[in-house]
Amino acid sequence: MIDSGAVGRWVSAPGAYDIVTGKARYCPDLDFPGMLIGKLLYSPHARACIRRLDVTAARMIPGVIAVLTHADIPGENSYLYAEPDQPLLVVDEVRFQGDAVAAVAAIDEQTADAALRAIDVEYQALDGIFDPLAAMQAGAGQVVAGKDNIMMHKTYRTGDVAAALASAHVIVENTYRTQWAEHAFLETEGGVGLVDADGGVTVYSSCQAPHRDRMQIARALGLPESRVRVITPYIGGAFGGKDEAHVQIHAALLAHAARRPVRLIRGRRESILTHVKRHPFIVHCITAATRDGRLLAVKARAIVDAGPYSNATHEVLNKFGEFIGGPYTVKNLEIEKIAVRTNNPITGAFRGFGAPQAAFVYESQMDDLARKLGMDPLEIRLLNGVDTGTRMYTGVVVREGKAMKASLRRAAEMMGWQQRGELGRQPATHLRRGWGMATILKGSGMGRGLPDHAAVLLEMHRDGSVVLQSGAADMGQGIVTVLAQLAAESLGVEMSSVHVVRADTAQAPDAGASCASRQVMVSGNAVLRAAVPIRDSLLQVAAEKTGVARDRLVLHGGRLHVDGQAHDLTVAELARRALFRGYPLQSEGRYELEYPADAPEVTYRYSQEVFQFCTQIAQVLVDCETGQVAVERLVAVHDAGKMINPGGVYGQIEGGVAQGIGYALTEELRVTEGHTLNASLENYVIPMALDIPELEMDVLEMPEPLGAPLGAKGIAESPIIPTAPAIRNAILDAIGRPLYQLPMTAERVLSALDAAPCADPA
Amino acid sequence: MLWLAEPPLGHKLNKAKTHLWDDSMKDIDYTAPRTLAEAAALLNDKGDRARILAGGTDIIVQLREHRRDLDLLVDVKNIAEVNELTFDPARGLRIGAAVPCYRIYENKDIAKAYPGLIDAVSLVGGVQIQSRASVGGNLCNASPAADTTPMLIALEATCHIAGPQGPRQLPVETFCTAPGRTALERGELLVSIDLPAPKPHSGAHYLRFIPRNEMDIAVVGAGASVVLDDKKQKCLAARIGVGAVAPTPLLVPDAGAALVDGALSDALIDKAVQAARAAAKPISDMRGTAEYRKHLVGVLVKRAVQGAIHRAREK
Repeated sequence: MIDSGAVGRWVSAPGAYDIVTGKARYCPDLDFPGMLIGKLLYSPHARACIRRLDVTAARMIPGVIAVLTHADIPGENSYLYAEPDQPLLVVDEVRFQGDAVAAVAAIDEQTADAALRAIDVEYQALDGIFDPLAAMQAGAGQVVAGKDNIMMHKTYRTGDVAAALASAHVIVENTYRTQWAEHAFLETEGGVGLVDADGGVTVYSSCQAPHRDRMQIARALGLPESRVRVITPYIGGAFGGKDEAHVQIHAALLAHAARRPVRLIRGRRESILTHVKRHPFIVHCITAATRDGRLLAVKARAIVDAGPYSNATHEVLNKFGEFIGGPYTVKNLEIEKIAVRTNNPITGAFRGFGAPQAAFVYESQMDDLARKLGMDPLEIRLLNGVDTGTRMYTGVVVREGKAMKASLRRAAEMMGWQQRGELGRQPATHLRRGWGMATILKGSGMGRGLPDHAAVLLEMHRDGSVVLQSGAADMGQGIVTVLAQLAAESLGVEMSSVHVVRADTAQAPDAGASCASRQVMVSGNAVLRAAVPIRDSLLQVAAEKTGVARDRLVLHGGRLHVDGQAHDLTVAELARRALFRGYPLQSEGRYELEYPADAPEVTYRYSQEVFQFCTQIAQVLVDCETGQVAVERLVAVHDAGKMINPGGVYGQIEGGVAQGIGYALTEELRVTEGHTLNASLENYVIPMALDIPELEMDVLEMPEPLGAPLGAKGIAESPIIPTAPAIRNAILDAIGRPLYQLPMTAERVLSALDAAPCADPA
Repeated sequence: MLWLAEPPLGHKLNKAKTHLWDDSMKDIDYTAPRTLAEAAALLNDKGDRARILAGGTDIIVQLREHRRDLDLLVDVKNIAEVNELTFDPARGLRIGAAVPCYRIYENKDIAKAYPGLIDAVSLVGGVQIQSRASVGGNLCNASPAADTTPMLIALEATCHIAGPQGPRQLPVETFCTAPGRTALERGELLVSIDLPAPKPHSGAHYLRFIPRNEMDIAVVGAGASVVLDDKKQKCLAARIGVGAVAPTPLLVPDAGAALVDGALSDALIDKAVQAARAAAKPISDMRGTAEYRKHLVGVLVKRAVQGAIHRAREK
């Protein structure tokens, strides 16, 4: 690799200045001549039969250009990328509060509102099915006619769990409950649809997967994908909540019908009521160990409320089961995974895909186990932790796993774990202080057996400037920065010479979704591969011009270097000469995630094989009179493999921990009979700056040996995963009482204390 | 705001209103009179189709969310009387109804004389909100969870009202009559809130409970003010105001009376706590169950009283 200093440095993201000064344009900022405002009509009932749907009056309103019902969709009305079972516009039955009934496009907001009001719908309210446990029972009725309420039921077993349980010295058995959680991205979902003169459709989409959006839009319009173009403008966050396409399809349908540009942006309330939430889980878990604390078996049964449609439920449960054993050596494991349809909110992808729920369970179990055995939480984790070469219960052999124990030790050192008792456990009569840790693993990539590839187009111009076309959506996580760094590094130019075009399906090849912490690996490698022939051309010209052997030539910082000394020839000059001679300066790079050919057979389907390890330790202060928990300190030690952009890595950790603190303590959608009661950021309580302590972070760089550019692994998901169990374990340490439900609100902590005075500190 | 915004758990949802989820506002008339008489005339003319605009931090949100339907906003910020902020150590403090929070806490004399009031005004929203939002607006919005009202109650504030029938005064604890409703009659508007001068050896403290550390609506709020004797061992007078535990912020006379019944002690404070708990009639909503609120009001009253005594003794 040629070093131009771009990789591994704290660099400014391309576009950062535009973002902070308000110049960057997001979907709601886009405006086109003749553009209409699109809106959707929703049912006031969580479940209802549509007896009559009459849009005649709405169509008569001056300024209303298009009113669509299911009958007006030219292509498929069912969408979702994996299993298309959700209607774009309801045909006869509303199955949750976010089911859209009709779509309108009008000259302005008020006219669009008037059109919605003028739509005549007669609903026959139906009794909804809102309790997943009841929905599993015989005679519960069907949420979706003709389909079993049990959307998925899979069990994975390895080893002999029954024998292991029988021989165990200690068993911990608990039931955990987690909540619906909201992504709360800064920018709500949206899209702007445009129709070309020849009937093709272009959609600006706030999304994570432009090429997959294109597939879904084409399917809904009944057009070939070649006639649909998806462009990503700046995107204000996603966290999995924009993995699936929703309103961008409606924007395309409306534009197609109106033959005019249509902008459709969800309001905040609409966004909270309609998009997928983190799955609420009910998990019964048994963990067994020997007298000296070695794990013998894990047996768990998870039931999730999926809402009426599939979304990413299969994927989320798959990852939950893959990680329920934690970063530990577990030989005997049984995981039963059940997804249930209800008339509650839809659920899907959210940073970590089921791994945060799993970690809350397995890391709580570890601390309960440690207490029962009288062991130190650090000790029991080090004793059972995986390492390089460990074969896990999924059949995967950990290729690089030193970070599991290294992150535990480093985090313990940073927190002062061994000296923690020296700081007061009871700083005031009503206050108790405690410390808790959680250590986790999370895979990067789609998982073996699933398509996991990306391609990019790279071109150097005669002035040495570089344009990179990538289909990887940048939702703010910074993939554009990383790809620019990698392109600059491998072509020997300054990062400022590289222009990464925001993902546009008409220009860039498919990179797959920006999810599963995968883009640094797949698109990153694609850039490295694309750079090879261009670099060859430049060095070929340089060798010809200087007469120096190629192996003594290096491109760095926009200049040729001979034997490490800067030469007069610039990369721009080399580019001009290369083009004059007809050497190629453009290239496609393609990469598919690699798996070792000699690896043993993996028994858990779609297992990931590149792991982000990390440990977080929280120090909390519990107010025993109110139950309120303050996170006083939080240490986060993460393994990102080689860091391409350290600023991005630390930013992901900070953001993940902040989101994790909300998940742990305050965030919870309150849903009654299918209706979300707190569909606003006034009542859905996300943490503010004062709720986040100054984070103490460190990043271990344990390069991934296979399939990652320079050894990078991705870091997007792991930071949120250990936060909630670390805080849970710190509360347990502080008050001596365990909690088994998220979020751990003040009221729940107080109930755990039974409104009795706090126990004296240990 | 809380009570207006959300139905309590288990309450039958008004499903018709969940139909439209847009954030757009309808067109509305705006006027900015220069005198109290003009403002009163406009309000009298339009009745409940008009409402006062001061900082706008509640009313604009309510209009946007279709929680209020109006034809006219009467901006009072051009009227001298409602912008008045004067402090006289002998006569007390006058807070014009449209004076934003920041003007109060940035005034060093006021901050020194009324630390309990400063507790409350610096908890309203965040810094940006405090630069617009007024104490008068907080009071007229009549949220049971308003942060400044329990403290105004504890500080014995008086409301000065102008209207077609001439000026009148009301003790602040009688100003709010129900969630979102006040004692203002047709055509009337709040002009100022007057606080008596702080007495010797007095102290006050306000605190609230919210699920996070800033910018949130009180689950429970409690304000206390005490006047101690020369030796600072006995309480001569005390007033306790609590918020978010009843349809309106409450004065709890029994809690205040309990504190003036002998030498100050934990047992005496506990009597005040019991009185406050007895007076609280909270509801359950998504921010807390009635039972939890009842528990919290005790905790907060104890801490508010302790804080007020501490300040009185520090002086």
